Amino acid sequence: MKVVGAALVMFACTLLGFRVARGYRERPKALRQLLQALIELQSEIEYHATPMPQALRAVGTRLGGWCGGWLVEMAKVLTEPAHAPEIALQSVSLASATNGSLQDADAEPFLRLLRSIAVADRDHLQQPFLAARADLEAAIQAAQEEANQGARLWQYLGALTGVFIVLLLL
Amino acid sequence: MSAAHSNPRSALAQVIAVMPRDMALLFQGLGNDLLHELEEIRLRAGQPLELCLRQRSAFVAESGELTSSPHRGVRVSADELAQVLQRLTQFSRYAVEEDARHGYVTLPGGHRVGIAGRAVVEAGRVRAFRHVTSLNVRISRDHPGAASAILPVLYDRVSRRPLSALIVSPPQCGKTTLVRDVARQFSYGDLAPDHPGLKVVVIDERSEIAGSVDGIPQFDLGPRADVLDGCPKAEGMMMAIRSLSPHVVVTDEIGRMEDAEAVLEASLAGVAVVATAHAASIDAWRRRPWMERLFASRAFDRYVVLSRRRGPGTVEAVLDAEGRPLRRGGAEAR
Repeated sequence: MKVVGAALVMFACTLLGFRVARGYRERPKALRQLLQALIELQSEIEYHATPMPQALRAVGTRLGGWCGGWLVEMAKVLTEPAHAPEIALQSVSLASATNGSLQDADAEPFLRLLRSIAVADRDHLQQPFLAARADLEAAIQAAQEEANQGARLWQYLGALTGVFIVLLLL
Repeated sequence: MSAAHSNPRSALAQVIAVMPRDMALLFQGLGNDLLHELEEIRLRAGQPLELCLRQRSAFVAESGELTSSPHRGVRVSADELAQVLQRLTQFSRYAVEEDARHGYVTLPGGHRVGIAGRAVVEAGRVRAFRHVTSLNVRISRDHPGAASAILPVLYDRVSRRPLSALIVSPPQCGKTTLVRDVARQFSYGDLAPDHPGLKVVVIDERSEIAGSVDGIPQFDLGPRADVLDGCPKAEGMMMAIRSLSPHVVVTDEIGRMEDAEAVLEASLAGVAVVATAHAASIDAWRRRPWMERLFASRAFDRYVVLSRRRGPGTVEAVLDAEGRPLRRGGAEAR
């Protein structure tokens, strides 16, 4: 019985460690998807001059998944008359869309980009895209480094915590 | 395709969608009779909200009633105006840059919104408007049958071919409505009982004739109409002649040298052109640069002069290629 109990505790703690580690690994992946969305949005807007709601919808539909859903939701709030567009954009939560892999603050480079290009003419579209891309690439690099350290740490920590609890109980 | 805008509320839906919530509520409270008469909505920063109706203009009071007193009218704030502008441009100024440079933006459904403010000039040309202080929303409406009265003079029964025609009037006399119905009736084949209908290409540079949304016409232009939406007129006419084999090319507001050349080219290619132009009379139109040449070359077989004397679409005169009257009188086209 004791052995079964100890095995269960070990299993639960290790699982918990792996779950936290997965969160660390998901973050750079999710940020890479945001970057991919940004690149596709740039082509849609810079080369085709597609209005923002249509561009967000088109890219969102192409990408699918949480990122596609998030973009389509932004396109929707932009066309709803309830709020001013800038306020409406902030109401679409990135944290909810990614189930917590990203925080709402991670959307800031993207939202800043949308605010900039909303008032830009065609000759001045490239600069905000380059700036947003640089911000996202920096965030990806930081998240990747964090993931490399944090994911392994939490995997070990989960297993070791399990061992520690088992030793305490025995 | 749908016969958009037969109901005044649906005609206004796309306009109300760009209004801030409080302003939208005021419009929702207006009666159908009033909406039927509504021609323009004028928004000026710090000034009362003005509605231009068919025969009068009025301000909207806070209660939603119309008043002739500007002091009782609901004032439009600079913030509200900025919000309307953001929605008009769909949060994408780059997408409407070319139109805005010419002082307007077209809303889905063909409603044209005129812009006034401080012009940004570069190399002697207006590049954009900043500090926008006024917007004029011109309500676009569909009147199927508006062209029925003039259709017989736009068709040669002997050769069984459509004739080129220029529809001339000052602003707000129903030129676009008329030209849209000409396109529709040609396309449906409403010219003669045994006529199969004509291939019509609509060059809709300002998206007012077809009122396209995402390239899809919102007004019914019949089964044989192709629309070049947002396409410059002269370039569009040449593209249409080369690749779409039209019987008729329909376009709005010709006036530039390249427009005149494209009309000439079309007439030489045996394609009828139905176009409109801003002018009070044919003589005034001929005084424009390049237009006298167009007149002298007899590119148009017919000239139709409109006015608002008995309401928008009043046909004042129909002239032949040499400017001689075919008929005269105050028939209402619509």
